[in-house]
Amino acid sequence: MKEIICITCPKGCHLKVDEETFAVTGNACPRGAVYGANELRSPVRVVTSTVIVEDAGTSSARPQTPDCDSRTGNACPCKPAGAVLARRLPVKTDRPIPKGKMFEVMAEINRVRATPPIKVGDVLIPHVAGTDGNVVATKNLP
Amino acid sequence: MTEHELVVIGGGPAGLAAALAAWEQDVRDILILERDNQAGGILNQCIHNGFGLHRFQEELTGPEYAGRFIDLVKQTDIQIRTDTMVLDLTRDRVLHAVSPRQGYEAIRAGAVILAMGCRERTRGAISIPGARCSGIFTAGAAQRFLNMEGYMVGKRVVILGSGDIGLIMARRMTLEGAKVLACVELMPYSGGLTRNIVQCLNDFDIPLYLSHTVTDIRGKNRLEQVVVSQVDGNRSPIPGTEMVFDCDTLLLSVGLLPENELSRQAGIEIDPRTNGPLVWENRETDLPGVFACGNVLHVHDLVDYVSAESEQAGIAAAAYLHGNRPAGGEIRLVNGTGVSYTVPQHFHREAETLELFFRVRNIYRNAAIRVLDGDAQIARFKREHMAPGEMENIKLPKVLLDRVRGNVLTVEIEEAPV
Repeated sequence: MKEIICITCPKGCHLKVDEETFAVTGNACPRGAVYGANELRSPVRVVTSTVIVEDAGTSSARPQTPDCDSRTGNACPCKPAGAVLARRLPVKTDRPIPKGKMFEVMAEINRVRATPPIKVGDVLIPHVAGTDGNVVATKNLP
Repeated sequence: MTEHELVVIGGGPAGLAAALAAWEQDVRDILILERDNQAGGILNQCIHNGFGLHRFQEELTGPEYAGRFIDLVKQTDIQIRTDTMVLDLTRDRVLHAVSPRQGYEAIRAGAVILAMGCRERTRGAISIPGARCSGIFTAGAAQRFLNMEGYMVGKRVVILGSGDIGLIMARRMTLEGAKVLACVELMPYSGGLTRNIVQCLNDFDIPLYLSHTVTDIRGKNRLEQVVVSQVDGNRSPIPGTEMVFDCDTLLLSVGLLPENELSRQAGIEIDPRTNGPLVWENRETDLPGVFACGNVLHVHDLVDYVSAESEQAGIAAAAYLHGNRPAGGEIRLVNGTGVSYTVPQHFHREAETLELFFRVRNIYRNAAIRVLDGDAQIARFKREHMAPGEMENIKLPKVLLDRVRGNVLTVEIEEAPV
């Protein structure tokens, strides 16, 4: 029996998993049984990170006129009216990927750039690190 | 001076959910004032997943969770004004605000919802001795630098405090290539959610030192070393237990404080246990027409609970604007053994189902929550596991409340017989 803590939800059930049959006890819901068995067979995690936004520049590199700065979001030639200049786009793998591949996934994420407009769910990297997971945007960038 | 039916201070998850709930109760003139350049609040920097399991039955990241509410607000005529800082709130519900576009303005509100959230405790708040070098950040500030501004704050990191933000940052810094040497916790248990200990520390073999604290900070310009010592039962450092870590960054995750400057200016009564306003079951403060919800009221672990609480406040503000007042006399809630606070702190006798949120003082196994009317137990809820880091809640149905004779209900923890 291996004792693990379920991380599927914040409750954190203390599971006991049989190393041979992968039978789970101590779970309060069916998701815990699935998690407990998988955690012993092949642990998986969702990876979240950020991607550099192309052309966002740095705040010091942006033109600083009274009508244009990142704080007010006012209209000016360097960006669409009302837009917020984000410098990083948050992303995630759209499904859990093998735990051992987390750093490989990070390396691929750090190589790509995002160019607005971007919508939540847009795929930035299909089949990241050879997994069946895609890296997708988690925020709209107009 | 402009006038609005409902003004919501803060455009984070609390403010957005409260405004939407009020809109659904037919309040049509709603203004949200947000000091950042976008709505969404702290969720914008919380890029990790795990949000929304209660609310949406799926695991969302912070920006996705906020995005769902922002999209709903966009379908209404609720106005969100960003870059706007509220400086003062008066007892007759006049708000004084400044923004780059409007300059100074005064706004009269029919009702106000306080949704300003909370701030992090800093080095000053916990008085860590040592050098005053650079490289010491609150975990949330580092999170904003990394996730929104794109700056890595350090390479070799020690984290003081095992609150959720610290744990999340331990993983985040590790994934971005930093070495996180240790997470140090003063208490004998972690203040964070269990799953964060597993996913953020255990996954990356980051040691967690319970009953330890930082006793010295060394560094000329940039941080060079921190000294960590074990503490005794009175949380005093034990001489001879010092460990020295060579590091360039110290992240502090040592608690959150509701941000109630505006509430205090308005003379709203603050509960010293929550550091948030004292509220009725509808989240109305002692100043009629002013409601509070989310982390400004008490620090939550889960945004799902913030949304639910804020909807109550939004519905209550709408009822206030429509002239409906709660009925019945006051029943106070008293913290019994093992309970550090409850929200709400009091309720009206005629209240519908009462949902109580509270925190326990210790870690309990196979214990029970008891609700007492004088000496008589009116309800008992079994719990296999309770911890101070995990907010508890119980529901008292109206049939039970109708049986309450006294003016005081006590909530206490009954420990399992050893």
